[in-house]
Amino acid sequence: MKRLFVQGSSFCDIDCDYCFVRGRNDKARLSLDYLHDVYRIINNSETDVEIVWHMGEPLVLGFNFFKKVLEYIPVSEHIRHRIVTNGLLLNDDWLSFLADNCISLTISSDGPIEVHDRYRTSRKEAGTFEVVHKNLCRSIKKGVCDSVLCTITKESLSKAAQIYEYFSSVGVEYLGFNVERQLDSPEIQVLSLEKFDSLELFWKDLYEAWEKDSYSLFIREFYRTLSALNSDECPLQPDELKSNYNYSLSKNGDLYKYIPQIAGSDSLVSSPFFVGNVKNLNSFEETSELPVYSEMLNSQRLCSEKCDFYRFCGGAFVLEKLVENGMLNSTSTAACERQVIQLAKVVSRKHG
Amino acid sequence: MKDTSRIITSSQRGTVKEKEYLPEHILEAMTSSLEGKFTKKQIDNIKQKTLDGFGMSTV
Ligand code: SF4
Repeated sequence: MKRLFVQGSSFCDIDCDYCFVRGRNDKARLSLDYLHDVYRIINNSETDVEIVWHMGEPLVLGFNFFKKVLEYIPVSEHIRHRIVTNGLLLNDDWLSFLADNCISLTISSDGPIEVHDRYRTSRKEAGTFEVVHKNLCRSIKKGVCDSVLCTITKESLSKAAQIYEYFSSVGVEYLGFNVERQLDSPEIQVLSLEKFDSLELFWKDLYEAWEKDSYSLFIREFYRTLSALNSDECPLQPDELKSNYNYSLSKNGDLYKYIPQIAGSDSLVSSPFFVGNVKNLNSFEETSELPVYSEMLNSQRLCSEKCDFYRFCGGAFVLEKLVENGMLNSTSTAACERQVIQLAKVVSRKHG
Repeated sequence: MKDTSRIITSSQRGTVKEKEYLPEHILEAMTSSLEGKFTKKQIDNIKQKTLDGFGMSTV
């Protein structure tokens, strides 16, 4: 199995402060010719592929674009498509189209209106909650949306219970929390969390809301942390560190490896991950490991030696290490602290 | 309707007290929340993907 992240366009119909994608105003789109090349590469490769449309709002590409996508790269036993969306454009026609073509949906929502509308706003700073909420409920009811991603911002810190209650009430099946993090320069992303903001209280409140609800929601972060707590060895295998697993295609046909977000991120940081243009490639397998891969594995080794929380992480956060620490061979990023260490401390205390 | 069938009931607590809060039970409880919506194979995939996907916070 491989995963190919595709940036159909970097354009987005809204402008969330914390978004890392460059060119959110740029309406240029991926040429359909490149899809022809992508299909050739997939067909010449040996494993199944999940294509994830992301890094910009995929639905702004429109119906006709995705109809063409399915002509060029049809869903099959070996190929699946997933769209990661802000949920704003999901009308009945879209939902039927996605359901009919077995395209899965991941929707971004930050929870109840007072949290969601703080940062997920239009260019005119108008909130998007009302529309996203309505569309999220419809997508779940229709069985098209199987996962929701919630970004934790400063606004979320004191509202974990309300956030839990919200997602539980709309019937979300799989919930993942991403802590806001620096993946590009401050000109591209404006984060609300400050250096010393801690998430311990947030994780504790969230855990207690979940506990009170008999652990009814499948929460990605708790599943990982509890699995680690329950295992003798680290059960986590960060997929960005797997050989030839993640690929990422930018709208100009350039293919990158390992880190999904890299095609939509800073070109200076992304160059070591550049594989080539899809026009010049024949299969995923022909692309040998890039020199940066051994550095990534060294960095993982350093994590296993130096970090007391390795078991809860597996030595991930490659892009964060590069952006925050300026080098791969390092540990301790803000993401480590907030997404792994503070969470592990809270969950361990609960079971200590 | 929440499926709490895998949660230890209060009448069972006396016998498995020390295991009551072991993560294994919670892992089962959270997995049972997916039952009925996904097949067993899909749930296994979801679990594996969750453990594999750490670096990839996008899906
Ligand atoms: S939390 Fe950070 S330092 Fe610790 S293992 Fe993960 S990436 Fe490495």
